[in-house]
Amino acid sequence: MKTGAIFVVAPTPPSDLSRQSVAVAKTYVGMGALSRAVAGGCEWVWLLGAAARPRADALGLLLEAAPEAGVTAGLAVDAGGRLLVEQLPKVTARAPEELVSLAARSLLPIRSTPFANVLVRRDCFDRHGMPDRRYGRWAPVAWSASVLCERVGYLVPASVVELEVEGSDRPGLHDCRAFARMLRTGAWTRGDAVGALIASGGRVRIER
Amino acid sequence: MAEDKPVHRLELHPDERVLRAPDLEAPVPHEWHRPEQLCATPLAPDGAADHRQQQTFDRGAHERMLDLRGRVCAIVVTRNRRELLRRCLAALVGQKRQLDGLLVVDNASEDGTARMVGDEFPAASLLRLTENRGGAGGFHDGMAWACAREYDWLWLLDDDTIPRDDALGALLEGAMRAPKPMPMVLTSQVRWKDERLHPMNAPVARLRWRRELAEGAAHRLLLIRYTTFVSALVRRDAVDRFGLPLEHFFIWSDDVEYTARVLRTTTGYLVPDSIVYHWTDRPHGAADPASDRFYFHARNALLILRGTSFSAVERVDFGRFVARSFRVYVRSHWRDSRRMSAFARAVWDGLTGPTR
Repeated sequence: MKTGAIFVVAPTPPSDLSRQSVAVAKTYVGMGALSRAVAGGCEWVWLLGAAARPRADALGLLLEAAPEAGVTAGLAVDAGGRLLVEQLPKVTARAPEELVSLAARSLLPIRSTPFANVLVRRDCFDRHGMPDRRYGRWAPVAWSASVLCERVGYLVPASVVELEVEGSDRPGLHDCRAFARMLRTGAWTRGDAVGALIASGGRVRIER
Repeated sequence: MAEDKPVHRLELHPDERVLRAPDLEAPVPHEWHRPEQLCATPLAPDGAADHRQQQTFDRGAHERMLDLRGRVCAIVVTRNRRELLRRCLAALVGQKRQLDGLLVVDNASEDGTARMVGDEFPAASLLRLTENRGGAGGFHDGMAWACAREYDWLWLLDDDTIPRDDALGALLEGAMRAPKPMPMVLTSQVRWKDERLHPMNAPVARLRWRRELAEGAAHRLLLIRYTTFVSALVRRDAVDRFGLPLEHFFIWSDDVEYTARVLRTTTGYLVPDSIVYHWTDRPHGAADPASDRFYFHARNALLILRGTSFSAVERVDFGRFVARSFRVYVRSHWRDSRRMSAFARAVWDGLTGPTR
């Protein structure tokens, strides 16, 4: 498959990129990495979580699975190979016919995704801008929900990335505004909001 | 050699004329016809007798053996639809992965169905009910019959289902590649005559089980919440754990209640490679307001809502679907006093009838 340049964006440097069958042009790490990558003139941006170790051909599988998609997301697992459910994209309901035909291709339609293992066409950033910081920790979800209102996006379960799990990172009271914004703008459904509350584990962290 | 074992050794004694359900003391009062042999071809080479012996001692080994070599019994429930049944049975006999058993449950047909089955499909077993007990009663007795004979998989089909010749093989391959633990139910793509998905049997994906949904998709399977008895492959373990379909549902929604009950805590998948055709006159949905049988939809839907097949959250979703179907029905027929009184009776029966 012929593609344009692919840039990798991650909070910390990913490892094992050499195992990918598709060449990565550049890697951007840290604050402002996404803006720099998009400004750099690539065609695709591969967004990875912290300390990511992509498994063999994780990128190639995302690229080839659905060329028509604006966003394709893979799975994220911990070092023990356990699926990180909180990093899973939200699967959306579609017409049964479409669900069945996608299942036959090992795909599922999504309506939002965190940035754990996501391949995005650059024109999505051109049209929708950068993720909005006002959404706090849920900025990637809100941004992808906005993009996926217009574009199609898929979960590609064959593409897997290992991530370092941040055990204590739970939503706190300082996330209340972002939480309310997610709900108000429709980036989340009510069910998602309940899920996020449950994810906080009933132990909301209070920070001064 | 296991291959040499004659099939009829697994069957009841030829003189036995009464079918006993596995957990019932009293004999079931209907005729029991036993053909000379259950299936046209020999059993799968692993040997069913050995298989049964192993499952008693080693549950894990039992799981591993429930693969392509597991013994499959197709159960077809019919009533007065001889020509459709003939096509269905021809398609079943012609499966590339041959059946180990084929049971036709005849709901007291009066059109010569029993004779046709005996003459044209000697490999099929025939269970004749003395009165029409609906699809629910038919599947209830058919599944009890197959479980008593220790089949591993029960393939449940309506008589107007025409499977492609690779439908069963694809279902079993789906079971093999599915994530562990092995799924309890597998179902096919159900299409109408013009190749569109049949609206009555459209799959209901289980989106809330995100982990299982993703793992299933990785294996080219779609996680489902419930399905219909138009090509449902059910593990015998499901009957052991969750019982049989509810007879008193008679028709409509008995399959939804049963599969939702089984799949509330277990997994089931749609296998896209397995395709069957549901040969109805029209591609109508499950709650067809034009049908005289709407009574059963209304009553059974309310029984399901009062039962335990769905969680509280799922009941809200299912309740919306039921309310919508009631609204459409009432709008279409509110001037028809006969239909409205039947609808009122259905609501009353659904709110007061037994849920199990």
